[in-house]
Amino acid sequence: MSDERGLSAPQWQELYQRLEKPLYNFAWRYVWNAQEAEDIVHDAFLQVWERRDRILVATANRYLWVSVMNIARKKRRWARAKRFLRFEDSPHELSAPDNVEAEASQREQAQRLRAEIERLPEALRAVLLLAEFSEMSYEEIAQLLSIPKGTVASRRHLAVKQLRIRTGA
Amino acid sequence: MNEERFLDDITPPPGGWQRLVARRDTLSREPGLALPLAAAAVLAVVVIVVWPQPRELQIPWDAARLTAEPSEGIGLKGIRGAQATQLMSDDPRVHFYWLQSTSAP
Repeated sequence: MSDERGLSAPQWQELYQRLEKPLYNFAWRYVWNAQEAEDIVHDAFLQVWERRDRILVATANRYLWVSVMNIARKKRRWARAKRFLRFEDSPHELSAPDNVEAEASQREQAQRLRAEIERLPEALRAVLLLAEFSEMSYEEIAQLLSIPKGTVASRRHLAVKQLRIRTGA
Repeated sequence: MNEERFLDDITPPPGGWQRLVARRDTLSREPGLALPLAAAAVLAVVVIVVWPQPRELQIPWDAARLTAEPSEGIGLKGIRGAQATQLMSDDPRVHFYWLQSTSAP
């Protein structure tokens, strides 16, 4: 692993281009709002930019995931405390339905899935979303969350099983 | 990951990079807080040291009087270097006094 310290502007941009989508997907499933999810991702990237002189290039990726996870958790706690957490319709999930019935069905299925993700305990949700979007191995996720590798596998399995059963997916 | 994906990918809103760069540039244009905070600290020290302090009155009574707690039955006594004038009070249990220094300014 490289010990190179200090992130250049092109490296920062490359990181954004590579991680914007997976980080956004992760954050969106915490706040269910496009603007807030983007803000979370941008906040994390601005943190990295401010600390760019001290950050190890090799671990910038991991730093971003931890930052996004922490910011998303904070925003979620705040939104829940204020009862502001609501399910925004996602244009992604409503795209290209063949007819009104299909759209309604699609919407219903998406909302059911969101509700079930909401019901997941935080420990399961974090593992599931990292496994789905981060492209990290179980070992890397285990290091990130400071839990054993086997726990990552079992939590992911349990989360998917619960979602499948509850949504009929 | 080796395992099958369960959740669908969604695409972030377009223009994210431009908005991020705009936020970064806005932040870098804003002056940091360090300089204003340091200036405020220096100013506070100067004010505390240089500002004329009011002359102290000797008020040898207990603090309860000063917080307007009921003081029924307790007379005003023992004020050195000060003159007390009793003021009107709607509550007979509460006494108000206007205190003035009798020593020369």
